[in-house]
Amino acid sequence: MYRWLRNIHLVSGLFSVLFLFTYGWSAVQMAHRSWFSLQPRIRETQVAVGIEVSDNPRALARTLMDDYGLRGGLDEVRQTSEGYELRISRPGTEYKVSYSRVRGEAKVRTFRANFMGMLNSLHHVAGFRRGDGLQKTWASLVGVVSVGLILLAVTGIYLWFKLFNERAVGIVLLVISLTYSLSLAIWLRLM
Amino acid sequence: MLPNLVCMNRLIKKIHVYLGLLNLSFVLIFGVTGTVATLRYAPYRLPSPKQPPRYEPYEAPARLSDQQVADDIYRKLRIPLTSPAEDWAIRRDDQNDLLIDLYTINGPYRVTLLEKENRLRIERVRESIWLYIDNLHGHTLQEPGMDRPLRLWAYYNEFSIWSLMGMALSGIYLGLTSRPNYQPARYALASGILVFLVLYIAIRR
Repeated sequence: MYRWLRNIHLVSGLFSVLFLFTYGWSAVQMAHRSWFSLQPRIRETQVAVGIEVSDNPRALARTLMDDYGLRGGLDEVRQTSEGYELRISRPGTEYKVSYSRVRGEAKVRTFRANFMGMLNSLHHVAGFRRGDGLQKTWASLVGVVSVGLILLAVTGIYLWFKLFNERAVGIVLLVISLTYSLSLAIWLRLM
Repeated sequence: MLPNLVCMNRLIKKIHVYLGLLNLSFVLIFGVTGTVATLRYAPYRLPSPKQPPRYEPYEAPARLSDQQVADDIYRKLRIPLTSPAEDWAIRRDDQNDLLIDLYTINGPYRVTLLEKENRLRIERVRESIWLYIDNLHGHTLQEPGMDRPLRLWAYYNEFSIWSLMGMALSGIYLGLTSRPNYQPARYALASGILVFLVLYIAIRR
């Protein structure tokens, strides 16, 4: 039993290690926003498009995806005095498109996140409701790593308890941490 | 194994175990949050209030904007765990009444200013336990809210974030040195890194 649980702890921990760093480091960024710059790289291009998209934002988005390689989900569609605006986005990359009927062209502003911005985006990818196959693969790994974390906690407690020379100090630390966290969590829930 | 390496291993193992014990709750919270987020199929919808609304008299000062009125209401109500409403949490409803969401870690208080009646309608919306756990995992030092239990929780969260990375680092060291001939551990590390890098590059490009 001990050997078996130790192997689960070791294997699930080592498999998850880079994912855990991603979550940890992006959490540091979110907790200390002034420490990091999330300034994206911005590029602007003009694209001439046919009259058939003049009243159809979805058709324009599809043209940009098929002919110009834009990838991501379509949202934030809104009318403007000149035409309309829309947004196509995926983790780490965002395209803000504004279409002008008068000029018959779409202005595409591409925002590419830097490394920290990318980690931040990946931190928020979860679930299978949205996104392409890559995002869904990432989402499934989020699930695997999350279950792995629960396994790490449960097996870790068992493994610690088998280390007889660490029991006394460990029990004190565990009681302190559980008392602190559970009393705060219950207190906050009841407020 | 060399005596120095044995000593080093013992020390790092001790740190790894102690950090794990001190952060057990948070490791479980992170795990549960990720699992729930993975399994959530329906888009998030704020639940309806279960308790009947309460009313309080309030007359909005005539010269204030909606944001200023929202701030004034926040100061008057002094609801625990809330912070002043951001502009995205303030809007007008279909009857043109001012609607203010005062968020807490348990879910928002929805405050409607009934200007013609000179009173406030206050409804409490309580999130499910799973969303509460999600909110706990995301409550860092950056979040607003000066109530003492919130600040204490944010300090614990900060400690846990750094500890998680400390445990990951010490875990790699222990995994590779304590049982150097255990092949599945090396394969797990290599495959985890490979899968991560391939996905990162593919999503990034």
